[in-house]
Amino acid sequence: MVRSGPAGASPAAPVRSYLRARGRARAGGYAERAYALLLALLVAGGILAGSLPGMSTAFADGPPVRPGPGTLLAIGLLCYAAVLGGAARFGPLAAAPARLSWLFPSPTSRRGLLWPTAAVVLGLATVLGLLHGAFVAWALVAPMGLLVVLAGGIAGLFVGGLATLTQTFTEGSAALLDRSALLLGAAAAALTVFDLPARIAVGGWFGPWAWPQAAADGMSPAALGTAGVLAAAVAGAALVRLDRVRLAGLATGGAFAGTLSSGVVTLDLGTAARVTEERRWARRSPRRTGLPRLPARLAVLAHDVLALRRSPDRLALISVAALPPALLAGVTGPGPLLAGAWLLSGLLAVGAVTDNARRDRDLPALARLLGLPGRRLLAVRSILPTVVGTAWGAGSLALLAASTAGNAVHWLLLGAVSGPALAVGALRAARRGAVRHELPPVVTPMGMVPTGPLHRLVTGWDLGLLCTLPTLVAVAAGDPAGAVPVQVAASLLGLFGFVAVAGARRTSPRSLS
Amino acid sequence: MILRTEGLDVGYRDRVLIRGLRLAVDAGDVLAVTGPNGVGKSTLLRCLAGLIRPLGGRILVQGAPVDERSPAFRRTVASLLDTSAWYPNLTAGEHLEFVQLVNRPVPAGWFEAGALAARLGVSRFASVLPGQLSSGQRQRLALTLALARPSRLLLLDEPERHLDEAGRTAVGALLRDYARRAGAVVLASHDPTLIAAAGAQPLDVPDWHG
Repeated sequence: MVRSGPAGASPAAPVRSYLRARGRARAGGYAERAYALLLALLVAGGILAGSLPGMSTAFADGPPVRPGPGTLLAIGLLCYAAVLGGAARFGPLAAAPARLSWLFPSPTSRRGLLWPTAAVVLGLATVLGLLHGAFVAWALVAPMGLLVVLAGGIAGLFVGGLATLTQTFTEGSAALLDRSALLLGAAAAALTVFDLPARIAVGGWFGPWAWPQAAADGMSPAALGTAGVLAAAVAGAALVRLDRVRLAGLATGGAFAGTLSSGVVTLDLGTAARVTEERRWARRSPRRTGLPRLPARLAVLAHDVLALRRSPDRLALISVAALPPALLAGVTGPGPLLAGAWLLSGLLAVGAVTDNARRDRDLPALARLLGLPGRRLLAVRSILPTVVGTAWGAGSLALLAASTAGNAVHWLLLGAVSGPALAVGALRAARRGAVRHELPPVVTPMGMVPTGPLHRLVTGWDLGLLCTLPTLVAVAAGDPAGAVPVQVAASLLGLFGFVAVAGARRTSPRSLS
Repeated sequence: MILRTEGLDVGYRDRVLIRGLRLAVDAGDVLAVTGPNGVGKSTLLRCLAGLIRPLGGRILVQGAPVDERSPAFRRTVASLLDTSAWYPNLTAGEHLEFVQLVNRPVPAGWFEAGALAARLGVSRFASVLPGQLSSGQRQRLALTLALARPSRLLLLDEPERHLDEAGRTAVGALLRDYARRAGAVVLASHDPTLIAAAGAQPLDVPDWHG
C-alpha cells in the first residue's frame, strides 16, 4: 500500500528556482537581459532628467483653477473606484493557467507561491497612491508636498492590502470589490452633481482617498504615522493569509489577465475583447428570458436593449463616465485638455453598448444569420448607441455647465445633439477588427515603427473627433453659443454617412467565419 | 473510506443538477460517472475537487470536509478536469520532472516516472515543447502528469478526450494499477472501452431536467 506524504505544505523556493532556471535557459543569457535593462534605465533616466525642471515649475505653479476640496475628493474617489474595479477583474491576485493546472493543486505552500504576486499588487497600489498624492500636492500647491505624496502612498498600500485581504476571506471578493468601486463612483457622482465642493471640509476620516488632502490641510504626523502602521498591518495580514486564497479566485483573474496579455502580445485586442465579453456572460444566469416586445423589424434593437438590460454594470459605467470631464473642468478649466477628456469619456460610455456591433463585424456568420443587408443592420445597431450618446452627452455637458460660462440649456442641448456623433466614433471603434499588419512601417531615428497598431488605436477616434468637432471647440472655449446648429449638421452627416459607407463595405477576406 | 458524500446537491445557484447523492468510494474502487451531456457530471467532479461549493450536503475526503486550500487535501486528491494549460518553455519530459518536484516526497512504490511515460507513449516526445504537440499527445501528457503525482483519490473528467483506442486501453489499465496501489478513482466518461479497461463500476446520473 502506498501512503501519501506528510500533511504540511512543501516549501515553494525549490519550485521557483526550478522555473527560473528553465526560463533563463530558454530566454537568453544574462548579458542580453542586462543590456535590455540598462537601455531601459538609460532611456527612462534621460526622459526623467529632461522633464524635471518642467515638473518642478508645474508643482510650484499649480493648476490654472484652484479646485475645491469636494472636487479633489471626488477625483480621488473616482481614481480609487477605477483601481478597485481593475482589482476585481484581476483578482487582484491571479495566476497563469499553467500554474493553475500543475503548481497550485500540488501540496507546495500556497503562500510561498503567491507572495511575489502579492508584493507586486501591493507595490503597484502604493505607486498609484503616490501618484494620487502627487496630483493632490500639485493641485493644492501644498507647502508640505512630500508629506502629501507620502499620505497618498500610505492610502494606496492600505487599499491594496484590503483588496488582497478580501480575496483570502471570501470567494466573492470580485463582487465585493466591484460593489465597493460602484459605491465610490456613486459618492463621487453625488459630490459632483450636488455641487458640494465649496461646502465640505475634508478630513482623514473620509477614507484613504482623502488622506493626501487631509495631509495638505495639516493632518498631524502622529495621525499619518498611525495610518502608516494600519496600512502596513493590513498588508502584512494579507501576506500572512495568502494560503487561504482559493484556486477559483486565482483562475478567474488569471483568465482575464491571460486574455488581456495575449491580446496585447498578439496585437489582437478585438479578439481579446470578445473573449473577455464571452467570459463575462458565461458567469451569468438571466432571470427573465425572452426578447423585449418590439416590432419584428427592430428585433436587432431588441437584442441590444436586452444586452444592456442584463448589464447593470455597463449602465453604471455610462453614468460614471460623465464625471471626469466635470471634475477636470474644476481643475483645469476650459481648454483642449478638457475637450479631449470629454471625447475620451464619451467614446468610453457609448462604447459600452457596441459589443453586438463588434460581433457583427468580427463574426460575419452571425451577421449572415440575421439576413439583413449591411446598411440596414448597421442602421439598427446604431440606434441604441445614439440614444445612449444623446443621454450621456446631455448629462455630461449639463454637469460641465456648473463650472463653465454659458447658458446651461445651451450646454444641455449641445450635449444631446452631439450624441449621434459620439455613436459614430464608438461604432467605428467597435468595428475596426484586427491590427492591419500589412500597413507600411515608418522609419524613425529609434528604428522602424509599425503603423498597424497606431492605425487601430486612432480608428474610431478619428471620426469621433471629426463629427464632434463643434462640441469640442465649444468645450475648449467654454462657451456653447452658436455651436448647436453646426453640431446637428455634423451629427446627422456623420451618422448617415457612416452607415452608408461602413454598412456597404464587404467583410474582410481574411475572415473565415 | 477515501471519499464519502452525504445528501449531496450539485448545480449552479438555483439550478440543481444532481440531488441527494450518496457515495462511498474506498481504496481500490474505480467509479465511472456516466449520463447524457449537461446532467452535472463535470460539476460533480468540480465539487469533489473543492473547486466549487455544493448546493447542499457534505463531501468528506479521508474523513475531512473538502478544502482545496489545505495541503493535506492537495496531497490526497489529484484531478484532471478542464483542458490543461502548459508552461510553453518546459518540454514534455520537464513537465513530468516538474510535477514530481512540486509534489514531493514521492513515496516508495509509486509510479516510476520513466515507466509511466513509456506506458502512455510520452517518452517518444519527451524532449518536445507543448506548442508542438498534437491534442492527443497533450492529453497523454496530462494523464501522465496526473498519475505521476502521488495521491489517493484521482478525479478525471472525460480522460478519453483526443485519445485513440490504444491510448484509451492504456489509460484504463493504468487506472486499474492506480486502484491497486490503494487509490480510488472517480471519472466521468462516455467511453465504454475505457470504462471496461479500467474495470470501473458505472454510476448513471439521470437527467433531472430532461
